[in-house]
Amino acid sequence: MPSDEIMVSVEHVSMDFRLDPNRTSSLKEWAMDTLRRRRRTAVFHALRDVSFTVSKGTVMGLIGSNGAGKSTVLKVISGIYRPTAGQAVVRGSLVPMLELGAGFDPELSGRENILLNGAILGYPRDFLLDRVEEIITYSGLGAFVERPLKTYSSGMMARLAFSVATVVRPDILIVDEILAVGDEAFQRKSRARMMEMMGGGATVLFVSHNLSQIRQMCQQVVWLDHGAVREAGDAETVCAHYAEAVDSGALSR
Amino acid sequence: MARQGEQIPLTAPDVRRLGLVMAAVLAAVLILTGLIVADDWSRTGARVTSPEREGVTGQPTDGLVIEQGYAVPFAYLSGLTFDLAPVGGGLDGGMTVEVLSASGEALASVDVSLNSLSGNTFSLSFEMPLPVQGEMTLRLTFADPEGSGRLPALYMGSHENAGRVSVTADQLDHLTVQGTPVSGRLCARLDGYSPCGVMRWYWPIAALLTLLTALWGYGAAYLLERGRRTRLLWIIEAMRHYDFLIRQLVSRDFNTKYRQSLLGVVWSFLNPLLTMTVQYIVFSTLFSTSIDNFPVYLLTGIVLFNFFSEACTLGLESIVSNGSLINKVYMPKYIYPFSRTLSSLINMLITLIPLLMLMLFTGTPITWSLLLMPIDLLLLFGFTLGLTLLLCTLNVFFRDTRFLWSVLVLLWTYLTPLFYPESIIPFGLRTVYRMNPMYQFITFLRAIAMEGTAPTPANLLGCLIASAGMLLLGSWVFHRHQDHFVFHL
Repeated sequence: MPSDEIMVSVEHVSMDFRLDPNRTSSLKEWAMDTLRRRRRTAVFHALRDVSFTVSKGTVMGLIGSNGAGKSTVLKVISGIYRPTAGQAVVRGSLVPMLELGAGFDPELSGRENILLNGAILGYPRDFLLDRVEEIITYSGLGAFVERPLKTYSSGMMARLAFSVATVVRPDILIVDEILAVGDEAFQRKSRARMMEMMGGGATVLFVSHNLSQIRQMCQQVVWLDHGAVREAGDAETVCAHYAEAVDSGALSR
Repeated sequence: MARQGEQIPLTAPDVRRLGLVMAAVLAAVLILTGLIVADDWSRTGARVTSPEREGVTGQPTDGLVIEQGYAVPFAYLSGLTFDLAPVGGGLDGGMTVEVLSASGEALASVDVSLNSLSGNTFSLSFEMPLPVQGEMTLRLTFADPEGSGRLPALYMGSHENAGRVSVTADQLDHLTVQGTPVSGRLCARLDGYSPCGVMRWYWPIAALLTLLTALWGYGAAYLLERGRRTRLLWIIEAMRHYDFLIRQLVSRDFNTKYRQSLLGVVWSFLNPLLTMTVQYIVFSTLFSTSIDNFPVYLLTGIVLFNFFSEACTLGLESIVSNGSLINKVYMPKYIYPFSRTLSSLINMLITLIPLLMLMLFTGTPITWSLLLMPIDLLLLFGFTLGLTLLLCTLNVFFRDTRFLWSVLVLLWTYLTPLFYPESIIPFGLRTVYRMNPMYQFITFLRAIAMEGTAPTPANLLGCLIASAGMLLLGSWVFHRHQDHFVFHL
């Protein structure tokens, strides 16, 4: 339940991407370009002076049209991008659920991949070793877990990835769309687990295009538009304004 | 930033204790190293060898005097070895061996009974090494030789007067017979040494390094109490924190490498041995006569160079091939090249087993010097990691780095004495040739494994400079550019 303790604080974050019209990726081209003095770069401002804070236990939604900078904000908070200006301060353990199955290796068995993927997500060793059986049981893979990953169907792989990613109870959870994977039965199970994680007192940053889901889950919403904060505050209000803008076509680009 | 599963960060007392432990370990290593190298480093040994005898024999006459002047690369003569066993019957009488200084003063005089000469060589060693100071003359005087025996080749050279001593004046040398200059040289081997002051510096420097390490602990703890972390502390904490991940990445490299092969890890044994066999067959007629213990010479080079080229070639791709991961999950990017190089290092440690087996098989003496091997491997690891950091950074921005590298590594193979002796390199180019860091690391290993001696101080210094220099350069370049990687993957 929301308290005053601030878990994530995004302070005046700007993020520029250099768009090189003819980006050189070979030493030869680079040498030629340098010789011809043909080095131009265009800058794309993905985020402009974005600031907001998330207090403990809050489920914070991020909304906005495609390319508004939602994923970039999440990556800055996760530490994947270093912002051009400003900073993002995070207190407590953080698990980014941006992509499932990061670092899965097709040659290794399911069990080995649980350890590898868990280590990449930053789980402590003892914690992970204690949870391996729990992960296997939840994924429902059974004896398949000893076979190499390349023999899995894509649904089985997604189930394994989901099970590893959601075994933790982090202080801060970063969710890019609610993930529901696998067959119908597993989809229900996984959706329920996501809801449980998000509702279980963790601090959540949640990106979704599903406004009704945002309204249902979130207390706070930040609306990003072209890399800047358009509006932030109470979920109902911001969602209503956003829906209005979308309906009136003001956001069409 | 705090991450999932962060361990309790080190506190100031922890850091102080860590500094002391590190200082203690360093002191132990330095003392052990010092004890091993002390003998070899207190003097620089040198040896003057004449070519092998060529079958010239002669029957000595009474009063025959043979003199050989030498310019020797050492200050003290400690031993002499002649090739003097008589052939064709016995020989009685005496021979006086004199060592004269440059000014003609007799430094030593030894009487030898000719009938005591047997076996192939005759050696003298001096309890009190003779102060020859770079120049000396060896004089052999024969007295009353009797019998039909003839002494084989006292010297090399043309022999227009076989059976006696040959006298040709066309090429004046230091060798004289009865005062007449002769071409050729006496078949003798001289062993000597010059005193070397390195050990005088070793212990003070070792003590200083230990003290600095202990002080670092206190300094870092002081800064930590004020909320600052030294770079080394940051590295230690990252290693501690990501220890599990590094293990997983290394074990993945290992598992995927051998998973689908029939012989599995046996390949790590076989591969260098097979390479050695091929090179032995191809090059043995060319080089094996000029290199002692050619198989071990080959394998030492192969083991180290294979590690180096494998680690760099695979490490070069470590950032680009993990691009999707770097875009999705946060972790220090150093981990990718580091774990990749670590995998290759472990692979190399396995290939040391066949090397050891070959050394036992060929009867290479195993000495205490071999204990210095971890130092060589550690320094080589540092050098390789540094170069890998440099290459993988370059590869992010310029994807043709790998092609450039494959050519470069081929050139590097030929510039390193892997299967040929260093002596084929023209003398004037040797200084430049020895600037190749791989030359330094391989020479280090050959000194401790084949010669049973410590590496020369210059050799060790070369390894240290190459390792530290490349590591600093590589991590500096990597650090400067790592935040831009995500835009180019």
